Amino acid sequence: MVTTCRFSSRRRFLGALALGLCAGLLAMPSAGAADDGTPLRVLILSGLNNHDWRSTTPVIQKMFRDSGRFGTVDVTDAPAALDAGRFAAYDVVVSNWTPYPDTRRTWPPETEAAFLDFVRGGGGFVVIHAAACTFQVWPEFQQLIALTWKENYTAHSAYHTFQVSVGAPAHPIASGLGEFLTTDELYHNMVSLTDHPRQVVFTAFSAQEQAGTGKQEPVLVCTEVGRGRGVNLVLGHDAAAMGAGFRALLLRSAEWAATGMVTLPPPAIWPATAAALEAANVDLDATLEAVARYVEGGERKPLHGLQQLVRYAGSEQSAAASALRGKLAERLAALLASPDATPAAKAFVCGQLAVVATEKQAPVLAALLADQDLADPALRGLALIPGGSVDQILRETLATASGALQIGVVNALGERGDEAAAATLCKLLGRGDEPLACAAAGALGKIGGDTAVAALQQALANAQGRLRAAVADACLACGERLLAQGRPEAAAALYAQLSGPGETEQVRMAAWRGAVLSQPGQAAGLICQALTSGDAGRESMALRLVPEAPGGAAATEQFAECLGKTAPPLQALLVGALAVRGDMAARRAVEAAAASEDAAVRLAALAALGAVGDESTVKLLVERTLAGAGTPEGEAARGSLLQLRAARVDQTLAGLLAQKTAGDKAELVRILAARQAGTAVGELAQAAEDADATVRLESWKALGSVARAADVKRLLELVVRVPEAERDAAEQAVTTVLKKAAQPDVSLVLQQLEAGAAPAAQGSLLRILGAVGDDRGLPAMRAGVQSGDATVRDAAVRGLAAWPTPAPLEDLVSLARSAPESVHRVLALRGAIRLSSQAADRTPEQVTRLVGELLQLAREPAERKAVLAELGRCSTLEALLLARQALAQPELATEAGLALTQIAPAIREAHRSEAVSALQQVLAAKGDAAVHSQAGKVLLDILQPANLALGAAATSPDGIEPDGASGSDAAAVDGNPSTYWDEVDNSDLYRLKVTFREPQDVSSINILWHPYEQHQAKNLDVLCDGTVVAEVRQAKCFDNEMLVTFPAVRCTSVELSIPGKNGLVSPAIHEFQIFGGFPPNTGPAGTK
Amino acid sequence: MTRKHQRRQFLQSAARAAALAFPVIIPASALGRAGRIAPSDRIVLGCIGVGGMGTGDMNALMTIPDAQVVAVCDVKRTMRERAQQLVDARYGGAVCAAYNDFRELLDRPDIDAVNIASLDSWHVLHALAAVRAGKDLYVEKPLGMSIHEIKVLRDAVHRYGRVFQFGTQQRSSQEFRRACEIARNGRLGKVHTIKVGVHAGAGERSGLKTYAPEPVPEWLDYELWLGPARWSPYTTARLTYPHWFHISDYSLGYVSGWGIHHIDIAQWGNGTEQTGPVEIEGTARFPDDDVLCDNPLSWDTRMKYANGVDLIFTGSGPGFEGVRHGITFEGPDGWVWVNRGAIDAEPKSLLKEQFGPGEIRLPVSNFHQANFLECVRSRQPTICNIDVAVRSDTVCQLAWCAFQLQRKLHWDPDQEVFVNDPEANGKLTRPLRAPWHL
Repeated sequence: MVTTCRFSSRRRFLGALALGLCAGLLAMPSAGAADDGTPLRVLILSGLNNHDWRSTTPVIQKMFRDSGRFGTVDVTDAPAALDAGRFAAYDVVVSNWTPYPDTRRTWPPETEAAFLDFVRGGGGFVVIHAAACTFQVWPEFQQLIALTWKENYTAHSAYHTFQVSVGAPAHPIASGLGEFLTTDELYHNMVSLTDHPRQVVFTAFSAQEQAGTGKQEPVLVCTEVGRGRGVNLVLGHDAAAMGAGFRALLLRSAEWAATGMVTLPPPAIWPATAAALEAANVDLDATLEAVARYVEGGERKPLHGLQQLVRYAGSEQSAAASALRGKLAERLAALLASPDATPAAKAFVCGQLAVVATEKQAPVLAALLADQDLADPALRGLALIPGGSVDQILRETLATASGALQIGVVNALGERGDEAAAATLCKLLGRGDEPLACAAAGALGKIGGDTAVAALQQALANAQGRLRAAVADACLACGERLLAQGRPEAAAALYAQLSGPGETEQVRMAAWRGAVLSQPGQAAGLICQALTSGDAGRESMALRLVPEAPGGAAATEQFAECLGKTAPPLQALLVGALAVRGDMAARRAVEAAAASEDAAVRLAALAALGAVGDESTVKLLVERTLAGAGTPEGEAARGSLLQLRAARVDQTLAGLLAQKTAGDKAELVRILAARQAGTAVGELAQAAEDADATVRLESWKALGSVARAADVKRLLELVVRVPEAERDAAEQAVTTVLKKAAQPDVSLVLQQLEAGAAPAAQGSLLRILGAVGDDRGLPAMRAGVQSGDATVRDAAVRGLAAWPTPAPLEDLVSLARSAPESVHRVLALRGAIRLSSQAADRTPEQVTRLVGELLQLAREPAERKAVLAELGRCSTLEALLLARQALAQPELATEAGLALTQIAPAIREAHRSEAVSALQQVLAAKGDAAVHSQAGKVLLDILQPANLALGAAATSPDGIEPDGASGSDAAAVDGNPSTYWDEVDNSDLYRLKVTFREPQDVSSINILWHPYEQHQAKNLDVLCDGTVVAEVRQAKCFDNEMLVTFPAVRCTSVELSIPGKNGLVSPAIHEFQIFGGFPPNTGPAGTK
Repeated sequence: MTRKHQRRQFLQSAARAAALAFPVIIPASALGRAGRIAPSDRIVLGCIGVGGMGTGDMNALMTIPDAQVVAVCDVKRTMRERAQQLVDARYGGAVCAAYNDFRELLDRPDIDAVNIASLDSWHVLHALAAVRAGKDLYVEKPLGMSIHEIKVLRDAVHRYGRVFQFGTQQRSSQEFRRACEIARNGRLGKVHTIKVGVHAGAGERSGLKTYAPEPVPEWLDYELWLGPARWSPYTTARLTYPHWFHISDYSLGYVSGWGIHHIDIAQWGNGTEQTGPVEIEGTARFPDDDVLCDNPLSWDTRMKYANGVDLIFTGSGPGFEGVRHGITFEGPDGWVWVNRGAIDAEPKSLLKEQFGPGEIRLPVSNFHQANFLECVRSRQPTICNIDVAVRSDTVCQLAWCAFQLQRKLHWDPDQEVFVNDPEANGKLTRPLRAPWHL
């Protein structure tokens, strides 16, 4: 599909109005050059950038050269030297150039003038990524690029994969493209320094979890100045970020900037999904060329590239994928047919072709079958291609092949279920070639059909050893197929033949099982016969079939009858099988077995009664449980009591309660509780007032577990008269029952309170209200606090202190201030501290006031620490000041420091200097390492000090080679956290040295380590001009970062000296940042 | 390839009954002898594959008085000799035979049961051979490399009436059983979402960076190591554990290698042990940084069951965290989360819930190997029997199919095929290198 997005003059007019441009533009002819398809001319500005222009400019250059739309593609490393003549030779200028962090005007006035003339006269201008951070005091330039960086305000997300969305689908650059994925860092909070009109054509959501803003950010912005056009393409941090999406945006931006329209078609693979993103970045031609040269052990990157393409094409997720699929199949087939590709390449490509191939490619794979080294990969490929023509190829190959290939073909035909091959395969059974015959038998077993069955039956007569096992297995498989086809007689005949003494035991057992399955009406009888046959194999198979045999209760009764005819230990196993069958028709027989003389049978029967018994079994099981307490039989009986399913089991059990002595009664109560016997609440409530204390206690426990909301009234009546010994248990039971409801209803408790009760009972009811914590109970609690009775008061205060909602927060603050009993003040304070974090409806100022008051009331360090933890949530200046005061107290320093690291970033916009000063104080306090590190990180984030390492030279004078996927030494100072410096593992000493162009004041370094701990050094020295300025020992990284501060020193080099081993495999540093004047000197508020 | 399973209805309904049945466990002390009786009255065992996992299994089996290991098998001489020494030391004296070729071990009539902990790509072939030789079997997870091959194994296990235990030992831990009972008994309301999170294990790949062909070491039978996998020249990294876990010729990676543990619990707690999801969607990130490894670095899948439950199954890796590691069952009334040795719920009171006899009580096993041996004697289904194992393994493999096709797939759990989707059904098989066949 070709997109031609020529603006008609009318649309252009409307577009211009939309942009708020002067209507005088109308009179002008279409600006720019070459809308007739003449190759465009582009000049790329390069040679200076705080990003790696040396690697990105060639990538950009190649994109233009390969585009087919651009003819002249020039690069200059000295843009300041450009003049009007040079500009005139191009249709569009693309800037990958910036003197950042210098944002002043650095071009000579003549160059500036020539540039503006070029643009105003219809030239195009495109800035990439950091090239927008340029000439911030040149208004016309800012109009053209629309957006730029503002120090300490604009920033970027982590380098990650994100989705770019279309903001202006009708714009020529976006037309025909949809949303896409790209991997890059995403700038956010870019600012416009002019009010010149601009159009945002692409945007991307900046995710907060990737250190972004949580909002849409511009990705591509267009402007018009005079007759010229500008594009600000925010993407393109490094060469890896310049994938398919970037390429399309860049080329289309340049074409639009040059001509006002876009003729470039959308790319063949659009990175709309993860798989497409991978595939879109693979160059098919170059990949296939490299793959064709692959030898084992060689560079496999091209293989991965091909895999990515195949994975995408095989996914059928879009028309583009399907188109690529056909193309790939042809190209891969061509590679396989090529005499130049290596055998290793062809072996690999066979597997890839199988994913995208159709029958059309089968002959190419078939041709490789003759090649001994490629026969297996080619056959695997063929086997995966569906279709009759492949079956045909395989059958033809079968006739001529030998050895492993022949066996492979037999296997493939079998898996494909190719009935047309059956006759040929039958012949192979008798060839005398055992591996081949075994394969043929297996294949025939899979294909089935009368021809196969007859041949297999015939072969069975003579086959020996492994072949006999293979043929028998194939026969068994055919038997199963016959059964499935509804031909039980044919199956039975086959099984009969397999039951002879010439077969192995496992085959005879399998055949017997097949015979049982082919006569479902007689299954139970046959199983019973086997169980009493004395044949170990059949007994074993019969036991397995007991649970699954058809015939329902009648069959169960047959098995039950059979139980009497078997002897231990088989009898015990049969009891177990009946339990798995789970049919109550076996109950009587199993009950009888529970009285067996054989201990194993008794035990198995008692365990099985849970599955096959009913309420009539209760009595037996209760007796055996009580009599056998602590013995295996007692445990088995008890286990069965807990399992019995029948409807009236609980009532039967509860009915037994009255007849039992205290100890037995308690055990029955426990069993009722474990059974969740909801219908036994009445009996249990009665038992809760039993003469025996243990029974009473167990009954309350059981009631808590078993009773439901409907039983609450009855339980409350018991509570008001419960003896002291069971008061706790009773309260707990009622609380538990009330809390079972999603919305606990405390109205019955309140009614009971209003009805009046003794102080002890009132206390119970208040404690229940407190434990349930429903706000409707609060008035009663407040009244309780005012009670003249100490018990009632205590219950009320404790209840409020444990209240789950923040409703009684003010009550608690007031109690913490002035409750008469000191223990109540402490309880109330702790409750208030806990609830202060839940007060969601309060403003930060209100919370700060509350927390301030609590901080005053708190006496114990533990309480004050807890309050400080709350303080961290308050984003107010007052909170900051409170935390600073606490910082001065050594026992609170850690919590106060932590609170400050939370408050400071939250108020940094409104109170920057106070936030900075507080963090400086934390750093000066040298408290907990984690807090210190966190404070450093926050302060770095606020102040954004210039990283002196950027643009400096990095070397590693340790003579150790780079390792694995690491970059060069410069990777540690390139400003790109996705690249890193790493060297060969397990050396003694690693060194990384950064040298400045001229001396610098240095006072701290920050290291962003590799996330794996074995690549993070705990010990290192920092040297400035060869002198040690800081020794780090046994340090811990936080979030993989390590900030080291030291007294300021002026130097031209900063070096890390890192001893290896002792848990360090090798140091891997993503970023090594060096700062001067950071952290700033501690202000007057610093601690002493 | 579709095959009707009518003949298995009998078996399936029975297996379903077993899975839902009471936790009827025949106490070990009540078990006498039936079926194949070993001369020593112990269950005689052989161990195929005695690397790290296989040795762990073997040691666990040897703690059970009921068991007697008499043979080990490994294509690495060093491994099998080390295992042989462990067995000899355990029982005292030279009692253990060591084999290079599993077929020789399986030819021994005195062996009742085998433990299979070989290379993933070998599991089904070893298991099929054991079943056809009349052995009961404990098979390490994952089960297979294709859905077709595990179905073939299931047929064979039933055909020969063998006792099968799958190495998803979390079924024998009480915290997992408890979480499943909470979910299945409606304590969360009707469960609507199950989240399964595991590590994708990418960080555990070896640091080896060269893959040049090397001479095969004298202690290794490389042909027999490769077995059904496509032929590739020997190189050290290929055999390094757990590096090979990340090579698709030998394993489906952590998707089934680790995913199966938690997926199996999700199936258990969802009450879908005899069925599976009906919709599957998923994407995976594949590596291009390591030259041999091509299994996912991370993945994200969404499945839907016919009962309305959504299953989210993720593997965390670089740049992708996925859902909380472990299994989380979520319903309108709360959630329960479980992982090894840890269980949590909201509301917390769920953890103290008791279940009455009218509710679903899952079978109790507290020692996975012991449960296997008990069932070898009783001939009853193990806690993770072949039907359950195939269904759980299938879920992991369905995710794998989704990664390849990257579109929504519709699965028919009754027929065990994708619905009207020849392309997807083409992903259900995997050719084996001759002479190996199913």
